[in-house]
Formats: sequence, structure tokens, C-alpha cells
Amino acid sequence: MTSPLLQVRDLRTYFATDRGEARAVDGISFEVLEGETVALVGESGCGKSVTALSILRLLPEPPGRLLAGSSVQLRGEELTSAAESRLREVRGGEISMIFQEPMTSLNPVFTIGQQVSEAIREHEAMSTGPGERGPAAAKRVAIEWLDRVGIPDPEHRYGYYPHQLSGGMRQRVMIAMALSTRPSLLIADEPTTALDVTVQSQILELLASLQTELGTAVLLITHDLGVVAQVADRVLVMYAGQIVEEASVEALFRAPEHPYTEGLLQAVPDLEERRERLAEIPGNVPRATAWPTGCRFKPRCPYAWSRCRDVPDLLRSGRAEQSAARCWLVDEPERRRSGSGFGPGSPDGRREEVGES
Amino acid sequence: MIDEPVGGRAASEGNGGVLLEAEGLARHYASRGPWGAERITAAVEDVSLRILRGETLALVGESGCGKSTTARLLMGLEPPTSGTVRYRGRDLGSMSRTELLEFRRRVQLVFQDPFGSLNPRMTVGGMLGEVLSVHALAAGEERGRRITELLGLVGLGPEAAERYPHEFSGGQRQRIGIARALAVEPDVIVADEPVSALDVSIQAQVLNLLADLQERLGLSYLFIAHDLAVVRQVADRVAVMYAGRIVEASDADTLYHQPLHPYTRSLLAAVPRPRPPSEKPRATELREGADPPKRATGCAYFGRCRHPARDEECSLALPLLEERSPGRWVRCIKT
Repeated sequence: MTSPLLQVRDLRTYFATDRGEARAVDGISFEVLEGETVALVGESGCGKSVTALSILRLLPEPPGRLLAGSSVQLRGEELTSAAESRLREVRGGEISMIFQEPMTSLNPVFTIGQQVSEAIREHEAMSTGPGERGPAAAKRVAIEWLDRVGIPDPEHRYGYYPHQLSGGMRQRVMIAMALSTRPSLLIADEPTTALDVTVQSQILELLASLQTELGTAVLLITHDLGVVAQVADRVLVMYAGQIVEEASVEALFRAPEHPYTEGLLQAVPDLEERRERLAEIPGNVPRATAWPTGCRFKPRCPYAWSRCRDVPDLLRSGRAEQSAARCWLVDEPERRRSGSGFGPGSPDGRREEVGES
Repeated sequence: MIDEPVGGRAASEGNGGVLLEAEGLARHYASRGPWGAERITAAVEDVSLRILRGETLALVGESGCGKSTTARLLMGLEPPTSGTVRYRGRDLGSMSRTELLEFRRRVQLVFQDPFGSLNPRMTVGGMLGEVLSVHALAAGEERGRRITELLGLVGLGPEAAERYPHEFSGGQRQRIGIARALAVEPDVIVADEPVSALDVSIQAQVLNLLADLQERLGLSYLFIAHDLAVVRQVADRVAVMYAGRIVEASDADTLYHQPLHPYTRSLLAAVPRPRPPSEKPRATELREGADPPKRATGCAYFGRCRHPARDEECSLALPLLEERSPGRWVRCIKT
């Protein structure tokens, strides 16, 4: 068995807030293997972006803090205790990151070419060929990369400023910057969420082809289950600061194990067929300062029973290799068959409590 | 002109079922170019449509296609450069002041960002009460009773009236936005991306609520969205816009099962499906090319089009929106 590229163990990132301590990421463990695409999926506030930022130690500390016992290893090298100088090499070098809105990550007063060149020079040893150094070599490589990510007439566009490009083109520039240093891992946080659907599909195809070509592993953070199904090999579903289900993409969409995953898949409208009613997950996402005790999904779960007062572990189901769910149903599957599941919320008794804020 | 749908809910009512109607709507914006020359941008061009009683018409398209501008024109929030909007057969441009007030009450807007559209310093009850008193719809004890009733309609308890917008979650705020629109007893609700800021689990709650309200109150919706799966769930009829014009319109089932226009086909092809990868996508799909070069003449979609029959003829003249079968409109000479 190959050793993992990235190994995250018991990662906990808490924040001090005026409402008390927010346990944004609360003990998650996962691995990313060389070259594979792992999707981290969940709704807003589940901790998926904080996970990404914690890996690269990009969170402001304070108010954030990584708890003792958290471990992030890149090819066996511990990053949580690494020196700042080493982290600077890793960021944009071995691990690159792209974000939802490229406009906020690009500097508006430099041309896109200058910015790609700068990334290349910062990590020169990894980006250019042997014996090639200096601004001229960096510029040549930058133009090659602009071409590679599908920017037409790259010599000319090298001199463009970010505002002269469309959203899709800006995201292509970000991809060029991120991949030009030939990282082993690309963390992509909602990379296509702000884009129109046809542009999204072009960007996803571009990422997939470059990934195959370069052998880069991708940790994709997204709320969009369609995007997950299209690009991921494995999926991690996050809820309330924890991973609640882990499965291959095929197994997850074919037979979701955790009730939260099941509910999410039934709540998404289907392009092929109009449903009579969408299934509803009742209630609201809990707050990181006050996660429910026991199973954190219990208050919204149609199957919950007395055992759910105890915190479930991530239980291996044996359904497929490496699939697991943080749910007692894995132990007692007959309860799922007798349970009600996610009904379509009835038009009447749907009165919900007003959320405390 | 988009006619009644084949077998649409209100088709049998004839013209009496038409609530809101646009004919030949255009909206141009003028700006100054680099040397002071005036440039005209056509945000909306030649848009005709009808919204029937009790139906949902969806306007879909990508950012900048003119769908939100069309909605603002239909609501009379800005004047069209040319064309007319009629509400129950009356031209907006020739309405008297009282007729216009009535129109503004009957056609209500629900926004994408519920928080941005709620007053942070007013309780929910205060906000709804204000709407009721401005339109002289309820006073005194009656007002409190009506507020409770409105909150109940959108699935909130009476205690919500005492609270401020920041005390609610995103989905609950959208319910409040809907309650405020309902307060004046509208018959058309224009919903501009009403669920696109919400999480999936909350989105389903709001979509179901909109469906319930339509059934209970007989509302018509003009539903503006970029998410084609969401539109599938709510729409009776769909109009697809590209570069300011309607390029295809028909009843929803037909549009999703047999899209005709190459743009509609590539839009549907681009939607990633939340299905196991082993399930193959449908075959009617068409991929498309990269960003379009702007063209002065011919079909606006020419640069991106990957229709096998696309040729120079497409670039010569603007295709007309033609009715291919009853209720089925397409702006393409090759389909």
C-alpha cells in the first residue's frame, strides 16, 4: 500500500468568539493519496473551509487555534509544528490553493503575467527547467502556462490586468498560478461556485485534464453534489465540524449510509424529473458554539432513537472498501428499513421554532 | 410572442387567464466609450411573454443574459426603451395613479438576499404591520391577527413577530421576505434567484413552501434562476435567454426532454448531476466552445455554437423566434 500524500489526524480548530468557543473543526481524520481527487462536501458552517485553511496554517491565530493532538502530515512531515519559513515553501509550492472568487486573490494593480511569473520565481526550483533562472525564463514559463490553461493569445494577455478578464478567464489564471509550481496537492475551495454553468464545466474539464497530466492530487471543497459526482474519486461528507460519512463516489451516490447524506441527496432537485415534493431536512444547521450533544445530527434525523444520545464513531460498514459513517444505523441497519426517512415536509404542520442567535 | 402553453394549466381560460404580458420589450443603456462616443448596450431586446394565472414561468440564462432586467421592466421598476407591459390587459404606460398603485400591490418581488432586503432595526411584526397600514389592508386588532396568519402561512410561529431579522437563519429570513410579499395579497410574485443563497437542505424547504403557497393562494410566479435543476422543480413553462433575447421557450417537460436550441442543449449538458458516475448522461447534449467573439450581425450564439449544421448562413441574419409547434418557440435556423 502506498503511503498517503496528506494525512490529517484528529484535527481540531477552535475559534474564540463572543458567544464562547466555536468548535469549527472538531476532530477530523482523513487521507489524500497521490494523484487522487477527494471531495470535502457539506453546507455552510460545517467546517470544510476551515479544514483547508488549517492544513496550510492560513488561519489567523488568535482568534483561531489548532488544538494539541492535531496532526497534518505531508509525506510524513508534520506541518502543525513546522517553522513559518518551511510553511512558506509548502504554500504555493508542494500545496497550492485556489478559491471561489479569483478577483479577490489576484492583485488588481499587477498584470496577470507578472503574477504568474512571480509565483514561478518564488518556487523557481520546482517550476522551471534545470539551469533556467531569472525573469526571462519565468516569463517564458508563465506564457506557456497561460496557453496551457486555455487563455487565447497568451503573449498578448500576459499584459492584461485582472479586471480585463471574465470570471472564467480569471479562474484559469489562478489555476495557472497554482499549478505552475507543480504542486503534489491542489486544494480547491469552491473553485467554480461563482461561475456560470457552462464556464464551470469548462473549468472542471481543464482541472481534470491538467491533473491527469501532472499527477496532482486534488482536495476539492464544495457544497455542490453534482460537482462532486462529476470529479471526485472519494467523498468526505462534513456536518457540524465532523466527518459523518466517507465513501467512494459511486457508493455514496448509489447508497448513502448516513441519514444526513441521504437527506441531502433527496433534497436536491433532479434535472431529469420533476419531483412531487422535495424531501426536507427539518430544522437548521446548528451553531459551532453549541453543537448538539450525542450525535450532532440527532435533532434533525428521522431515524434517531435512544442510542443516539451516545456519540457514534465513524463506523466501517463493510458495504464497500473504505466506506464508513458516523451513525449507529451502521450497527443496526434494520432500523433504517422500519424508519420513516425524510418525508416531504407537509404543507401544514411545518411550523418551526425560531432559531436562537 | 410566446403563446399559451400546450395543455398549460390556464390554457383553457383563454386570454382571461393572462395576468402579466410583455410585448416587444427592449431596454438599452447608453454609456460613453473611450473617446466620448456614445455606446448603446442592449440588455433586453424583443422580449415577449405572458404569465398566466396560477402558473410558474421561469426565465433562465447565465449572468448578464438580461433576465433580471426583464423582471424589472415587467414590474415597472424601469421604463422600457420600447415595447409594452400590460397587467390584466391595461398598458402600464397609460395607467392612472390609482391603477399604478393597485398594480404595485398586485405584483410583488422576492429577492435573492433576504437579509439585504429586510430592515435590521424593525421587528418582523413591525415590518409586516407597516406594509399592512401603508396599503390600508388591516388596522387595530385585525392587524395583529393578520400578522400571525401571514407568519403561519410561511411556517413561522407567532413569536417571530417580536424578533429582529438578525435573529433568524437564512432560510427563515427568506420566509419572512415571502410573508412580506404576501401581506398585500398579490397575484403575481416575481422571485429573482430566491433560493440561490441558501444551503441545499434549506433550499428544499423554501421551494416546497413556494409550491404550497401557489396551490393554496392561486399565485403566479415569474421565477428567475440560473440553476436549471431548481427551475425543473418549479416551472410550468421555461424561457431561455441569451444575450438579451429569448432563444427558446416551451413547457418545462418538453424543454428538458427535447431541448432544441443549441444553447439550451449545452446549458443542460453542463449541469453536473448528483448521480453515481456509472449512470450515463443523456444523448441530446451538446458541448460548446470557449468564450464567444462579439458579432455585429447574425445569431448572437454563433461564436459558441457547436451545432453540427452551423455555417456561415447563421452569421448573416438574426434568426427569428419561431413557433415550431403549439407553445414551442425557438430562435435558430438550424433546428
